[in-house]
Amino acid sequence: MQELEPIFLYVENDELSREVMKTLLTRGLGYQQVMILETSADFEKQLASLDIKPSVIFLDIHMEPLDGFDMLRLIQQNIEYEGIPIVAVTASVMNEEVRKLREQGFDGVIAKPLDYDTFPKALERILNGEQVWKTK
Amino acid sequence: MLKNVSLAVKLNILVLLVVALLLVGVIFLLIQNTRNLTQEIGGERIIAEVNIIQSRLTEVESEILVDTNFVVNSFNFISAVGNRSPIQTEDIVNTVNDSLELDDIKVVDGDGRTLVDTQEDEDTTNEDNILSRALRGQTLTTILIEEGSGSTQISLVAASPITSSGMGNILGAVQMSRHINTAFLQTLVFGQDGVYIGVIYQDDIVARSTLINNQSVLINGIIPDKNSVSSAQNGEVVITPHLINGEGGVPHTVAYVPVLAENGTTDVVIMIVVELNEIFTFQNTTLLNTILIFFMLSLFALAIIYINIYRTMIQPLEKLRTTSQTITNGRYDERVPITTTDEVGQLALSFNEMAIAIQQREASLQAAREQAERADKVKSMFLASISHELRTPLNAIINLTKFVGLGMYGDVNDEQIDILQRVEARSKHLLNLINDVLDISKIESGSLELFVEDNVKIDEITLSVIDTAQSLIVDKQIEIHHDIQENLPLLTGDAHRIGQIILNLLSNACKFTDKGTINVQVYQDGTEVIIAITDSGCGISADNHELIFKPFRQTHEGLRKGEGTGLGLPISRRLAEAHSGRVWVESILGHGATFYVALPIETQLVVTIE
Repeated sequence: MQELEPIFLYVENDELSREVMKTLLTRGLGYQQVMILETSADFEKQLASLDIKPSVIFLDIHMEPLDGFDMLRLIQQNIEYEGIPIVAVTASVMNEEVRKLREQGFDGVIAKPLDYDTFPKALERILNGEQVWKTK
Repeated sequence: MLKNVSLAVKLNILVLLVVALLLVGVIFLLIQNTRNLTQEIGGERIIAEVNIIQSRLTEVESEILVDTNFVVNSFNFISAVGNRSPIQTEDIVNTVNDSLELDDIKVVDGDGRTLVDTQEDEDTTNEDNILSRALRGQTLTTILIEEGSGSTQISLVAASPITSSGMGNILGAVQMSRHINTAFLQTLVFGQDGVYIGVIYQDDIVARSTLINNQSVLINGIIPDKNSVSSAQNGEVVITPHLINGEGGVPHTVAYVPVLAENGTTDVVIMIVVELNEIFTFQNTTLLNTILIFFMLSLFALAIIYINIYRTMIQPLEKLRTTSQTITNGRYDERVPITTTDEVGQLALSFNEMAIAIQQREASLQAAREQAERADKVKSMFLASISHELRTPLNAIINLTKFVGLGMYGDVNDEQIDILQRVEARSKHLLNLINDVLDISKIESGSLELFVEDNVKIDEITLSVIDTAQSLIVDKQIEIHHDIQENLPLLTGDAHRIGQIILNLLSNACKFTDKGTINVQVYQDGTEVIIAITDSGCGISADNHELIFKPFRQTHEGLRKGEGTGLGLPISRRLAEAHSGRVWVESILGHGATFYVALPIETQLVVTIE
């Protein structure tokens, strides 16, 4: 049932953060399809050049040249990505920052550091189409 | 009474009072002066009248005497009387009297028998006296008083003997009189207005120049003064020194003139009254005019005063009032215009100085506020930045250590696993420390925000926290019991923060209990919901019951354990206080401890934490 296997897209400029997410999804949870983008430059082109459409998109927030919010807007404008949950993965999880994520239209937030014990449950809820806002 | 009326009204009332006082003064002076003038004029007039009347009386007396002499020297008359012929005598008398118009003529013969009497009187005693004196050869003029029933008639009388020509025999006597009655008195007055004459005999007015029939009042309610009358009866001309007010306040001057009888007695007094009506009218007119002029001048003065007061005081004061209101409403640059240098101007000047001081103070307050707000913003940006910068590397450290330890990157031996687990634990502790430090600094700076919701279910939160705490006691022989009252009221507050309070207390209980039970009770107590967490750990001495709620302070036991930041309890207490609640401990060293959280059901939330 290849179609039911979730496909993840993670945009992150910090190398070790990419490593953590990739290892957790693949070796930790056994998923196969994890696409990683290392920069937000030419984000639209990079999106267009993807072979397959992801089922969940994880976005880092503090990035350059485009930040997480810019990328969120570009994805929201792309009709092909309609309905795909977009989740922020960020170390900025103070109340006002989370509120801003929510206002701008993210479907949830995963706090850094990722929690090995609680991450699987949060991911499951995201894949079920729920919003996830608990940060700790 | 006048406290609440405007300044202009007060001033105008004052002016009115002054004007009224002035008016009273002027009227007083005017009346006084007019009276003096009246008295002077009245005095002169009465003297003139007295002179006129005295000389007229003398004239009339002489006239009668002349008339008498004329009659007694007539040949026909002498022969008629000599013949003792009443008819002849009467003829002559009537003929003569046609021109003389005397009131009474009586002729007697040498024996005293009446030949003619043109007017017969009741009492003829006095008349007869006079005639008998004439029969004795005396020619005289005098006053004749004839007291009749009900009236007394006063007359001027002349009497003369009638002697035969050449021989000197007294054939008879004639007596001729003129009544002093209204008609006679009117001739004395010459028709002058305002002059009245009365004849007083024995305190009664027996004749008068007016047609009033009253024995005691002459005119205008003026009655004869008895003292003056008796002075006049002693032969003195009395002019009353003061004005006498008659009916209607009209002033009069009065004089009493004695009428000298032939025998020297003065039983008859003539009273002269001069009515000074013209001057009185003049006085009244002048008074009316004065009052009228005063009234108009007052109105004029009041108008001028009002306009002046309005322009110099009321308007500027009103401007001050509106300006101070404008400033109160926050427009600090408003000023009042200064147009004068008087007291009001000075007030406006110092008001403006005050407004400048307020504006400057407000500006510096505003600047200080903005600076404080900026500093706050900088601080929270700094905190956000610190949080981000520390969490990013910790993400790698914690998780990669864990992954290696779990063998995801290849086999690891037990010794390596042990080391890696310790590194992971310390890293997580570091993460907790960061979280707590951020919380306490947000609390200290007052920037911690609560996400307040209604219908917070305290039982669900407690159960969820107990569930989380299970991971803390996996290696220990501890059981967590709970006793949660049913149908607890719903709370208002930040569910996440309430959970944080309970988790802090419960993880402390787990930390300090090596084996035994931990009891979590939740129940309603009056207007509060109490969460009580009882452990069977080492307990806390009474000395430290408050100390442990201070930031970075731990007991020796806590420090020995080597975990914890010394921030969990202060954070918990502050979070509870932000919900208008409390956190406290009851414990005896060596006998476990119970930590209590009390949250009000009717929460009055403190939005920021001081």
